[in-house]
This record gives sequence, C-alpha cells and structure tokens, in this order.
Amino acid sequence: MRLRERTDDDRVRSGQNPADGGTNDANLNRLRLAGQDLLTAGADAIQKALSGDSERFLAATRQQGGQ
Amino acid sequence: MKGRDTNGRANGVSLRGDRLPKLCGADIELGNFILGLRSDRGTGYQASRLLLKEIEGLPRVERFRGEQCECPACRRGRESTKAGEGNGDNAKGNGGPRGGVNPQDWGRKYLASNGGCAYIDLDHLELCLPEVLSAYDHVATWHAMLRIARAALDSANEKLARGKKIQVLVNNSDGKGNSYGSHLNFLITRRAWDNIFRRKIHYMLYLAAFQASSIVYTGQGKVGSENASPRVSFQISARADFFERLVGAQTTHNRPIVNSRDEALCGSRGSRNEDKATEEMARLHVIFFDNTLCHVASLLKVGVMQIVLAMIEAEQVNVELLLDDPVDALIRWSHDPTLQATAALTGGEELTAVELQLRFLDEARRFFASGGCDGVVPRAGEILALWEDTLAKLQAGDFASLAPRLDWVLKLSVLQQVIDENPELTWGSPEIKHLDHLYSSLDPSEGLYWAYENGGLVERIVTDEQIERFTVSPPEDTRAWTRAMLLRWAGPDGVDDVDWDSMRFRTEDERYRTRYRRLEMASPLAFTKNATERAFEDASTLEELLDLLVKKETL
Repeated sequence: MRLRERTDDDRVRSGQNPADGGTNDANLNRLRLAGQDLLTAGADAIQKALSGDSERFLAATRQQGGQ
Repeated sequence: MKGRDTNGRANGVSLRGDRLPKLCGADIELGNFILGLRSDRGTGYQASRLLLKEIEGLPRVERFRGEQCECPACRRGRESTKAGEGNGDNAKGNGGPRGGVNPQDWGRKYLASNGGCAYIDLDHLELCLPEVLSAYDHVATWHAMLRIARAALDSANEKLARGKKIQVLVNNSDGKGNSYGSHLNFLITRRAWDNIFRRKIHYMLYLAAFQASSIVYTGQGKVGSENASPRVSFQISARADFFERLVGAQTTHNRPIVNSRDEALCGSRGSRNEDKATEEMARLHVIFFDNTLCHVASLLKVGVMQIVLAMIEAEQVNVELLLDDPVDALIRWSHDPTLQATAALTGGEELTAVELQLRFLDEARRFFASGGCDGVVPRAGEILALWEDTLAKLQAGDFASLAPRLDWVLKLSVLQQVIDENPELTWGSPEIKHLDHLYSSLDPSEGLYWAYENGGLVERIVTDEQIERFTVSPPEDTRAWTRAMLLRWAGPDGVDDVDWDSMRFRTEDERYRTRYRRLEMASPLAFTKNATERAFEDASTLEELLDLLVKKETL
C-alpha cells in the first residue's frame, strides 16, 4: 500500500488505497472524476501552497499544546 | 425526577427519571498564529488575543494588571485553583495560575448574539457553542461560530501592519506534536455518569469502543504522525496520536479516550437553588473528536453520539462490542485509510472499524425501534439513516460518494490528486503538509474546505440561512436563549458576571446604590424562549425582569 509505512502489522486485510479508487473500476473512475473537480475548485489554495513558501508557513504554525 | 414548566413541556421533550434529552454544547480550540512575525515560541499568544479583542461579548473586560485578566471568570478561575479545585491538568502545571494568570481561561466573554462564548485557552482562541438539543442545530451553530471568528479574523488582519497576517486553522494539531481540542459536552443523567465512571466499567469501555471506531466518519484526516506514533503518510484522525490513556480527567497531557472530568455546569450541587432535577444532571465532557467542517461528518459526530449515550443511559449496553485495547485499536485504525486494519474485541474476534460501527448501528436500530430515542434525540431516524448509508459506502469503498460527506476522505482525495498531478511531490513534501493545514484555514480565499463548499462539492445539512440565523440569534429551546436576551437587556453596565449556569447583574436601589443580583440557571433545559419570552415583554426594568424570571424558575 502506498499510504502505510507500518511494517510490524499483520492485522490488515488485503485492500487498496482509497485514493486509488477502493475495490473496483467503477469506484476508481468516479474517484478520478471527483478528484479533477476538487483540483479545479481548490485551484487557488493549491496554487498558493505549491508556489508559496511552504517551509516558512510550516515554521510559523507552531502552537502551544492545548486541551 | 420532577419536571418543571420551564423544562420538558416547553421543549416538547419528556423528562423521565432515567432519561434526559441529549443536549449538546461544545468548546473548540482553534490553531492561530501570525505569518510575518518571528518567535521561537510561536505567535499563538499574540494571535489569540488580537482575535478575541474583535469579538463582542460581556462582561466587558476593561481592566488588566499586566497579564492578569480581571474579568470575573478569570478571577473565579484563580480562586478555585488556589483552593485546590484541580481539573486533572494541574499535575503538569498547565491548569494552575502562572504569576496570577489562568492560562486555560483568559478573557472569557459571552455573546449577546447567540448565547455562546469565546475566550483564550493556552493561547488558542476557544469558541464555545450555545447549548442545543438537536445535532442539526449543532451543525448550524458550529458554522455560525466559525463565521463570527472569521469576522474577527478579518477585522484583526485589517489592523495589522503590512507583511503580517493572522492565520486561523480549524484543525487539531500543528504538525509539530502539539494538539488542541474540539470538545463536545452532552447532558446525561447522574446515574449514567456514575455507571460509566464509578459502577459499571464496561459502560466506559463500550463508549471507548464506539468512539475509537467512529473515526471513520469523524476524522478530519492528517498528513503524517506525531507524538512518537509509528510513521504514516496520511491518517484518518488528527487527534488519534495524542490519546495515550483509556480514561482520565486530564485534557492536556496523557490524553484519555474517555474523559472523566465531572463538571456538570448545571448548578452547584447543594446550593439553595438546587432541586432534584438538576441534581440528577451530569455533563459528559468528550475530548476525543476531531474538528470537522463537512456538514455530514459534523452531524454524525454529534447525532450518533447522542443515540449511543441514550443507549448507555437506558443501560442497553452490549458487552460483546468491547475492544481488547482501545488505545491501540485507535492508532491501528487511524493509520490505515484503506480501512482494512483490524483490532481485537475482548472475545478475540478481529474487526475493522467499519465492521464494529456496523455492530453499533445494529444495536442503535433496535434501540430506536423500541422507542428509546423518543424525546431524547431529535430526528434520530434521519441520523440513523445517514449513519447507515455512510457506513455502507465506507464498506463498499465508495470514496467518491464519501468525499462530499467526510473531511478525511475529502482531504485525502485532493491531496492524492495533487501528488498524482505533480510527480515531484510526495507525502513528505512541505507543500503537502502546507495544503493539509490550508484545508481548514478559516480564510475563504485559501481554505480548501470553503472552496469545495462554495463550489457545491460538499453535501449540505443546514442552509446558509440557518447558519446565518445563529450568528445573530440563540437557540430557542435551551437556556442559551434567556442568557442571550439577558445580555442584550442588561448590557455592559448591567452584566457583572456570567457563567453557563448563572448570571450576576449590577442594579441600583432607590438611593442609586449599586446592588448585585444573581440569577441561577441550573437546568440547561429550562429558560427556553417559550418559558421566558413573556417575562421579557412584561418587565420594564431589569429588577422586574429578574423578579419574573426567578418566579418562573421556582414555579
């Protein structure tokens, strides 16, 4: 699986990455189409993150631990 | 239990001795910092105070001695801490006063607009939603409070120097190992509370099993792991890594899945205004869940919890659904967005989180059919149907249908798409973590969620009009209505102190001497619009109004 990096875990049933479409081709195609819509609708924010200074942003996010 | 005119009949809910409507409140911390301002310790301190300053509320705090806020809530907090009334966090020094300051309750102000409140908790702006009966109203008040916070953000940013900008993130961790909470509060009977924490420990385990598996629809999703959890690219729950205990009263360290803080906010037990009804009320303080923005996720988070708590209150608990190790199961399930990871029940059976949720759904269906939700969970049938449909889609791997409903699926879908379209990016790229944060940015010009909501790509549960209404009006079926109206009536000169279950006012006698009057509002189910509207119409002075409200309360 692409998402998991745990290697000490045998309690995982076989499956696919949901972002790859779950368990069948129909799901896969629907997810790809939905993904395109998400890219289009979120284009401004995505562009901001990809062309901005992400390192600077991430350096600024530090918070005090809360409740 | 005795019901009062101001309680059940006005709400259309029944008050039987063993059951209470599952009224819900929420206290939610936000991530806040200032871009363009450098500080090794972060800029949450400055950002949170600039934001709170822009939110209108009472009592108005005019006096500060250095860091020390002199509002009544802060004074009260300092006094209770000095008196040793710890909340479970003092052991690590987070709950006590630092140089006379209570860092967990600073500058609290109640909103005349909707009866909620805002304050600063450990340098986070904290939004407290007014009490509601319906999970649908929870979704609307939650988004209304976010609009109020957004207006504060806009005002605060307008006043900042060029090159500086306050950021507000509706998430639960900074990606650097610091987490902040999204707490829910549910009204339950004292007997149910005692059963969970003092008498029937399997009830607490039942709650833990339900909560741990519920992340499949309550998670916001997060890139990476924190708090020494195993490495992972993306996980379902933003908070999962921070739960290290099964149960406990603490909220800032060694966080427990089930929080045992016993602070009813239904009147002080033993006070002279106490009656049997409020004495039998307790508040379950739930620190487990993620902040969610999707309407369906937010509705299910509260609505399904209401149903499960009604089952626990009715002592309908199936011990076959208990997890062997809830803390381990939570991490296991959160770290596997393929939903294939399993965890063991106490009986040895291995289940995925969705499979365990389906078992809870079966229990809830039977409970609903027997009338168990009647009068205690508004619109329970609709909530059950949406829960069932969502679980069926999760089980089928139909993630395209779930992206408009569930934050973690929506976030995962867009991030995966960005990675697919940009081969130079990986799950470890700073740009992807940046987007993870921007998903929940309150700024609509950059917040991914708002782009999807505005683009019609998320499923709506409440309308814009319903949300907007709660930015200017309180819920009508709880004490939040009377609190908001009293704040408006008395204004800054008349309001001396406010708490969830009481208010104190400054009035003048015939010789213009200041006198103080306190109104106890012990039951959150009382003081509804139906119960007190007439008093507001009939009274001509604050004194008269308080007389009428006290009279009504003691009927």
